[in-house]
Amino acid sequence: MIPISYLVLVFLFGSVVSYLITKANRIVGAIFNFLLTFYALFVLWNLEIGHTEKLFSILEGVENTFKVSSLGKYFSIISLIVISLVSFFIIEWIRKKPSRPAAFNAFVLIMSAGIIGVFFSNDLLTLYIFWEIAVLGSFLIVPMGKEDSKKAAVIYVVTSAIGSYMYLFATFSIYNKYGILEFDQVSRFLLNEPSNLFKWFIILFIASAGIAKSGIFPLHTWLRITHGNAPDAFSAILSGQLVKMGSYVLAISLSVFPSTKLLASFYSGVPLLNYILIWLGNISIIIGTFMAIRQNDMKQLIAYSSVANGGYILVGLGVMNSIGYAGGLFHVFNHAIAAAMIFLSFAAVVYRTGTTKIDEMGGLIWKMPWTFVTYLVGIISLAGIPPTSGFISKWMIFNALLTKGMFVTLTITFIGSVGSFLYVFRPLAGVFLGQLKKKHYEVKEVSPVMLIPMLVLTLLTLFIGVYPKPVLDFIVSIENSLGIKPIEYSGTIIKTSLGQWDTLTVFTMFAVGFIIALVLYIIFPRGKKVELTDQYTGGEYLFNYDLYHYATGFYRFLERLYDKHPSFEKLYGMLVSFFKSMGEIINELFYKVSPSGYVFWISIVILILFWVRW
Amino acid sequence: MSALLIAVPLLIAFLFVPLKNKIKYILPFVALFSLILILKLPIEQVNFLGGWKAPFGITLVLDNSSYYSLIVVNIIFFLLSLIPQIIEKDLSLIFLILMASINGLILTGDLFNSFVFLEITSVAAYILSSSKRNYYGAFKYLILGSIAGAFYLLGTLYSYIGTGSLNLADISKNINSEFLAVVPILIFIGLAVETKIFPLAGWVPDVYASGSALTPAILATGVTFSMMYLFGRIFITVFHGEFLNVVYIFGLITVVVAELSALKQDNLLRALSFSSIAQAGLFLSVISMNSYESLTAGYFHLLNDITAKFVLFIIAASIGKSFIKNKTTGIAFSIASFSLIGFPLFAGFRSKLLILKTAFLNQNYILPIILLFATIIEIAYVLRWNIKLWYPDNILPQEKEKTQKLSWNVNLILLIVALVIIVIGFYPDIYLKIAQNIASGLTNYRAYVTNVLGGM
Repeated sequence: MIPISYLVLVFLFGSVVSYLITKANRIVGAIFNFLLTFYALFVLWNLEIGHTEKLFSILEGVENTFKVSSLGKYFSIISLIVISLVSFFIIEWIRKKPSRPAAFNAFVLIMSAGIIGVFFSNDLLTLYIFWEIAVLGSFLIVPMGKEDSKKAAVIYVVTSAIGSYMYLFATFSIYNKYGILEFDQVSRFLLNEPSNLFKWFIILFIASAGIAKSGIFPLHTWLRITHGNAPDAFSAILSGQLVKMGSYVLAISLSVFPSTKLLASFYSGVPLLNYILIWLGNISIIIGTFMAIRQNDMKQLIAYSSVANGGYILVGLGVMNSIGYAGGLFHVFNHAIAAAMIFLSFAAVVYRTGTTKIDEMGGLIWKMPWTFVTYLVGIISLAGIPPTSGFISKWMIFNALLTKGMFVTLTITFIGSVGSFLYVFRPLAGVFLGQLKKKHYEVKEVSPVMLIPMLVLTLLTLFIGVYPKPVLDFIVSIENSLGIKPIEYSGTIIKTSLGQWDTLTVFTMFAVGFIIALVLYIIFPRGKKVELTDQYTGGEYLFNYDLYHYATGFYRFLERLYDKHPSFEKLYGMLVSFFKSMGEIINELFYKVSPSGYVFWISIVILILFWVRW
Repeated sequence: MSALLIAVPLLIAFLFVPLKNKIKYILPFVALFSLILILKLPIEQVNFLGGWKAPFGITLVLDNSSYYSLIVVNIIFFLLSLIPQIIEKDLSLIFLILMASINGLILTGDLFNSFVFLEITSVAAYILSSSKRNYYGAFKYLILGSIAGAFYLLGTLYSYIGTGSLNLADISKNINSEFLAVVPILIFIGLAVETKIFPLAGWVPDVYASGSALTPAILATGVTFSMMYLFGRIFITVFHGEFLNVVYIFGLITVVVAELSALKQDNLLRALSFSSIAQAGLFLSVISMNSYESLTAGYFHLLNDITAKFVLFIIAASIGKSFIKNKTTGIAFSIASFSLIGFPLFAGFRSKLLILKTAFLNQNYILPIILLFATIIEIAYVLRWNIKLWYPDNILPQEKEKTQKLSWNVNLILLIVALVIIVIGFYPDIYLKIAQNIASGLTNYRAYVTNVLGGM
């Protein structure tokens, strides 16, 4: 088995190979990418926990190493599942990709190299280095998308930099104070640290990288524009995988540095710091849900849903008890898979129709049934409806909140869940159901190459929904390694203090219900199929059915309630223009003035200097 | 021997005045000659001009720091001489004079002599900056540079009154508190214009953004480096770190102000020149911490900065609106800009880490905050420019026709330098060694004094 460091190198050099191959033939290049990522998945699956590799040493006293931890392995396998399946999807998708397929393929591999490195880093600095490589690779892909994607790329990389530089600042504070950077040593030193302020500062600053990356309020604004405008297939990786890197850092800052032991309890065993983070998660859930309801662009809609789901993960991780932490981790898996499914089905729709606007589509279920199935299962999982895996994690998070007595948070998570029913239904109704537009009469289902990864993801989420043991095994080993009481489960039954949940029973009930419905559907006479305009309203026959597309203003009755909401995007826009006008003022005052102005400034400087000195 | 470094370029410049058009082809040989000469020279050698012993005559001092600075500067000259396309034909003479004066500026061990070389450098720089009919920018530079030169001369005068000597080593030995009250201020203002300290750097964007590739490529790299060397030599070796607390504050203000100004520039060259100002400010505030480590970090960062700026300025001045026809050039540009920002794998990351480490070691938490804040702004505009050039929107076909490919030698040199950036990102030892040697030469002022004045 090849060591992880070699694997990373293979990806870095593979990016050059992939570039050259794609130059010659873009499909072969994409196949190469898929094979490489799939091979990486295979390698990572077989890694032993505790396997260590020396890399290099940048700062004295700190040996930069890779170490396989349960947490890292769990995240890396989820990531590679998403990346390799999306790479499979890309084999077909890249045919229509307008510009620079070679660079696209090369950057995907650079990004994957960074991602693998992030999850196996054993110290803060190595994590930072690979983190930036992943950011660099993904940043270079984003501007290949739609018109706004160039702006999106800059917003993305700046937001990411804000988080990662806060992280870097904390890293150097630790290094300066203790002289070490390894996670386990840092947590040991932090346990002996007398200053509460320092602990707060470290955990918050480390977590801020995760907050920026996973789109938690107040750094959530980049998700809409970036996910919405990135190349379609790449949005699946962005939302399904890259955002999870943020969750990983959040998990590290809260659990690898044991926040519950470091800080005093504030509310039923949860420290104030975690409580604040939980509230950030709550706000993200609210913002993500309510903003998603408003969107007309389907990719931006799911981008906001990623904000909300990032909030769920943070809430789960923040509670830091056995069931809540497990719920957070499980939700990482669910959201990664569901987001990948949804974005891939969107990519398939865009591949065929060329638009992302919901109100320009409709009735595609007749033309693209398998894409519809993928989307349907994806949103069922996202909304947390059994028997998909999405339900299990939400159930665990609700459970944890209930046992901790956090009723406000519980209410918000419920509102988020109900809201997610609303917003995922909008693309369902607008894109797949309803009336098929005339211009889409010729649309065909996408080819099997695109369908296979979508259906594999569908089966995966259904399978884990019925038989969650593989994921739960991982979670138990993670909780064991972090000193959290592992969740109890046996077979398909998950136990908590509030009761238990048998996934198999639920699945059987749903299956029986489905079969009954199917039988009824077969027994009863079919409905009559009519032409789209063969109906009347208000005593008039319809002639122009375009007017009756009901995706426009779909949730107008709800949106009206918060039309004049405060917008953080606007606030940050104002901040940017403030900085810009500051720069303009400085420029006008000091850099653009005539020579006589310079003489004036020189005299001022001399006066200041003499005043300072005497 | 070391006097040849100054004499040969000057002599050739005079000899070739009648053959102005041919001088272009002689440049690489002159640059190569001085490079070889430097490598042959023994370190720790003091050259007494005219046989006058140290405090009385003019000395040329070759110690660790000046030796390595000379190598750096001459490599830059050599690289530039290999791309004669960017040297306009009248400027080849100036190129040689600049080379002579910068070599002299680094070598000299005499304050008044350094003033003379500073003036020659400035005059050469004024002429360079007037290329591409950029007369107003050059005029601004001229006014500011002359005022600064006057202050520098005044500082020299006061130091002569205060210590009775013009020799740097002698001044360093004899400084007293009365003298220290006034001279550093005057010298600081004298050097502030060239080291691009706010608010005296108003000339920089106008001069660098003239559209000529040579002007910023030489002023932002070689000249800046030699000025930074001189700054370190005077303020650290001679004044023993006096006055650096003021420099520190000015440096930090420069960083913030320049990065903010860069944000709204719609001309790439102007944006890069503001970045150049900001990096100079950062460098000054780093070396103001005045320890061996901080100097190493500072000069290491400066080396990375000038390497990146060398690539960035040449490409920015010679490329049109996009990289469509010049992909290799574009790759070099992107590598240089990633290094400028400090992404891992690239050289700039290593120096950024070193700066953060030294700053934290000195219990200095403000510099890292400013550095990281400035980098975020820098990321915003540098990457925006990268995207703009790689993914140009609405390029007209005739414009696309008009952009010509850069010739192979320019591309080759730029790619080699870009490769160096990546290599330094993995093995920073080459640059670190240069920076460490410069730092040790500058901080160890006792050795400098004994070296020049003889064993005392």
